[in-house]
Amino acid sequence: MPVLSENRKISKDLSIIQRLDVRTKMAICALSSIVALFLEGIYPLSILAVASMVYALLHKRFVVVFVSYGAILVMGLMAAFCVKIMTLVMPEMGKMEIQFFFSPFLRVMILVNVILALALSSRVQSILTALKTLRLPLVIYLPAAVMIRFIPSFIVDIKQISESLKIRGYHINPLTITFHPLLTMRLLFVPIVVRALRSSDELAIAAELKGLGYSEKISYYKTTALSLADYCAGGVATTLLCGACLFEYQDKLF
Amino acid sequence: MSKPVRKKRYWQTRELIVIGTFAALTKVASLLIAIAGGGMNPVSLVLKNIVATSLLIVLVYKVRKFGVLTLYALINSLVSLLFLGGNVMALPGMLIAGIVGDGFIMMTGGYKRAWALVLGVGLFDLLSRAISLGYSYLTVREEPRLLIMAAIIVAIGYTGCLLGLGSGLLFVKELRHAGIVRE
Repeated sequence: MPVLSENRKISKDLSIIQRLDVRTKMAICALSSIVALFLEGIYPLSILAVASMVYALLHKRFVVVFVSYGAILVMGLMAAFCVKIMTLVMPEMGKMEIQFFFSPFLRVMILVNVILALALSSRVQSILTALKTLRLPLVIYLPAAVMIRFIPSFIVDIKQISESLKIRGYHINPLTITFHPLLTMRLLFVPIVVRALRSSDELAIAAELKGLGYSEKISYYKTTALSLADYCAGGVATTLLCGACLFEYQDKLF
Repeated sequence: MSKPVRKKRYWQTRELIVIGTFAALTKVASLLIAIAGGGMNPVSLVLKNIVATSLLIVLVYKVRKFGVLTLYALINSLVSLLFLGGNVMALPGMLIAGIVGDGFIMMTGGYKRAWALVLGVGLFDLLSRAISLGYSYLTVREEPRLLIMAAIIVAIGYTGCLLGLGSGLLFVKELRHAGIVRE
């Protein structure tokens, strides 16, 4: 069976992060975001930042991860530069002290790492399956599925509109957007809105003809159970987050 | 022979699909304008917000029901979290902004009044930005001066939202003339 052997080969090539269920990655993301917001100490935040960096790098998309770190660094330096200028122009704002930048920087690093791990390792189909298995009501599942389905279509549509504008001698670039914003908006906006409304009408008719939304409950073709890897990853993440919290609040607790 | 009784749902399939389509369109259009504008360009920042708010105005004209802003905010935050690096902590804030926006529309005359829709969308945009800034304050609370630049950028963006309220109405007028928006 060549097809099955090919599938096995693909599943072997997947990174550890890709093998995790989207629900596990979402839970790690949610927990990390909450804990990072409450922690203030440099050491617990550093532990979590390093752990989350390892988690993001396990996906082996090194270029994307390091480009994101570069962007954070540039933004951080720009913000520090602006604060420096403000303190020079208005001395009453106080001195700029570099140690106050560490905690916000580490917090942002943790958030970016867990979000990158989730966003880069999840395929459209696995996200749609996860949305189904989360037992979300139809009012949330249907628009979310439509949104996920239409994002690539709209990118193609906008490219086509841009090509058609080029044929008519109008190029969309930073200069035209800066100097002719209203014309750019009109040329891009009207065809896109008309296309979107038409697409949604066609999709709605197709969905109604298929009887979508008329059953009492969504029935599931198959449900996915969490694997041992999911439980292990969840356990490690929970231990690390609890450890960081204990480290932060050890004086108050003991 | 008695016919099976079909329970009437509050949200019709058509409306849910329109909300999903507009959420996707807003995300893609904002992202592409930001990229085409070359990053930290204030004109593209304003333009991006004009387009996003105009689309939101068209959406609330198309789906005139209590909860449209809440559902839009929920779907937008959920998909942003899964694909575009959105933050999970932004979700409750966006939900609150949506509920307040919808409640404001209901209290000021309902979804039949144009000015109530415009004010409701304006309030939703304002609240969602204020809540995001509040969350950013929690992230950088050790050095709150870092927030000044972010607040300036958000303020520039919000001027785009205010302009988008007017341009949205103009687009709705055109779409109504073309028979695309019927009510």
